[in-house]
Amino acid sequence: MYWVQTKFRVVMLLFFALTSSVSIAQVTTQISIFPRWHDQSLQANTWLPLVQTDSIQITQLRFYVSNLSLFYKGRKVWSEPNSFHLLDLLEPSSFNLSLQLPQNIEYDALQFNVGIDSATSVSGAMGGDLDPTKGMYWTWQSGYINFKLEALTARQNQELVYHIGGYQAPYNTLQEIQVRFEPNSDAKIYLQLDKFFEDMDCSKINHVMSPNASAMQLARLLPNLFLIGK
Amino acid sequence: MRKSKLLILFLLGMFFLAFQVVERALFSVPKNWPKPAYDFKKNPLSKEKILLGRVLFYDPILSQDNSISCASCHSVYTAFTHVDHNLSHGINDRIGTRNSPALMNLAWHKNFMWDGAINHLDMQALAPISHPDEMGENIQQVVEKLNASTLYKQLFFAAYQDSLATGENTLKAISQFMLTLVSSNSKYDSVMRGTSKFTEQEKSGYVLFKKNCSACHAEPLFTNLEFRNNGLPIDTNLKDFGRMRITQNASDSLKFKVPTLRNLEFSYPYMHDGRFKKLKDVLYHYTHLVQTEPNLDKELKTPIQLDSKQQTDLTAFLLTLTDKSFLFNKDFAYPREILKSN
Ligand code: HEC
Ligand code: HEC
Repeated sequence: MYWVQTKFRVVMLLFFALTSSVSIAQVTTQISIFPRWHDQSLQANTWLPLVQTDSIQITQLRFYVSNLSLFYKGRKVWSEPNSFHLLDLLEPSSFNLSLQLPQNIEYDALQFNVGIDSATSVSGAMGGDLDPTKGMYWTWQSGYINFKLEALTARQNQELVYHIGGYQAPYNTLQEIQVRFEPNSDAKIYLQLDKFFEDMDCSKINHVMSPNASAMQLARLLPNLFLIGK
Repeated sequence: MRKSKLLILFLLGMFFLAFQVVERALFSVPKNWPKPAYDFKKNPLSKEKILLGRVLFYDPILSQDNSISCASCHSVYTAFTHVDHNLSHGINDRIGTRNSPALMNLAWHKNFMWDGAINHLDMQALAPISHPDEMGENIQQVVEKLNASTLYKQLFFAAYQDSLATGENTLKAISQFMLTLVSSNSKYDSVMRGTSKFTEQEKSGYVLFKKNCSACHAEPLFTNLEFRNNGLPIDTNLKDFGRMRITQNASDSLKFKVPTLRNLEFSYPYMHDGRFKKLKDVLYHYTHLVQTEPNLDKELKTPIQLDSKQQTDLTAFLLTLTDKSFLFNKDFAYPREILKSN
């Protein structure tokens, strides 16, 4: 009995040694997303110029970045396991994503989703950034809010509430984003939030709180917001 | 070398077997039933988690003013539905817009609520907790309240080896309790297992049932778990279009989730808005009142005809779906030994 256990232990030890040697070859790399308003960094709860005549205050900006992967010359070279990140403007550090990359990996593009994919959306309760206590889960109808933006406009004194979500056709609002950069340069990704209001009339669409055609329309604006910074 | 490998295999086998025995005792699939839809691998049952879930189910701590628990609307003695009211009552005596469905055999369900708004059993509890007419609370605050309670620190530790309550752990524990609510010991079931016999009347009722009802109320769950339109005229006050609210597809107008008929002797009032108090009224609906709107289910396009003897026979059969061992199961009852008040 005892010798079986020792043998088993040896096997387990070997196993751990192997797996940990793999993790030794990894390096932590930061990829940061910089929320911006025109050519400035975006501040919550301060007045910002909106179009020609109005100003706007962003009171909430929270969204999911998921399924991160890296590409080199069009080929996927790495993907993050269990990849779900909740980014929150009020918690600036959440915009720095620490990735565990293999050493010496070469890449020239980053791909990720804004939102939570449909398979994950139907998998029941989850923890970490996906825990429903994070306030990003609808309650009257199942599904994550992929992108949550709340704001106030000054002149029209209007509250804007955009809870963009929906994981089922025809309102699958998940968006795939790809940004390309010079190989292995220090990539700066901008989230250019002003662009969101460029292609959309917020006096017409001001409340979106369920998966529907407006949510779909707004979701389609999201890929244009992510740019490579200078 | 070969021998030691065999031994390891044998030990591993014993280990898994031991686990399976535990699982089987906590939840088992009745003979000839389909595979459950719930993925138990993502939330493996344990006695401690089920107990935690049961305490949460009965504890009004989940509501904003600590007055309403899940059991207030889903009572065990009535197959976990709300008996005296057709529309469920919540905090401040606000009235919701729907009748609470009987809770049983939920491990087999893929969608929840009359319109399927909820896609997973784990997420179900969020809806009543957050609904202003039901419990009027939110999950963040519930978790804070749980973390401030010594009782729950102990229960969470026993269940998860971690006294910290999270949204995930709380919801999964409530699921565990609900998963154990299996009703499979009615007279009907023992007839199917060959340990009991139908009376002549029940036998004739069973034939009528298979002819007229089982397309939707399919055995052995007595629901096919689909969304169907059974020809109820719309209540012009409530204006509830059912499944269409979720899919926003006109062809889903007035479709509702087919409810189980198990334990229906105790789960009145009937239908999504509780409009019928008696089984007699339900049969009168199916034989006389079915609305021939364009969305009416094809199974009901030709009106069901049942004379009064046939109605009596069908009723006799439906009453064989009562499962006393389910309704009076101690394991489902108020956890008196833990929740002292009341
Ligand atoms: C105020 C009354 C009320 C309370 C409190 C309540 N429910 Fe319900 N429950 C309902 C109603 C009404 C429905 C049907 C709602 C619908 O279809 O829109 C329902 C539906 C359900 C369903 C779906 C059943 C099915 O077959 O689709 C489950 C599961 C459930 N409730 C569990 C719970 C749990 C767990 C709690 C406690 C966290 C709870 N309920 C608290 C009234 C209530
Ligand atoms: C076309 C599918 C279909 C057929 C056939 C059908 N039903 Fe139903 N049944 C439903 C649906 C859908 C509901 C829920 C409707 C609602 O609440 O709006 C329902 C509800 C019920 C209820 C209420 C249960 C509860 O807990 O509220 C009873 C009882 C019932 N049916 C009995 C029968 C009987 C008996 C027959 C055969 C004579 C029958 N049904 C045939 C689809 C069907």
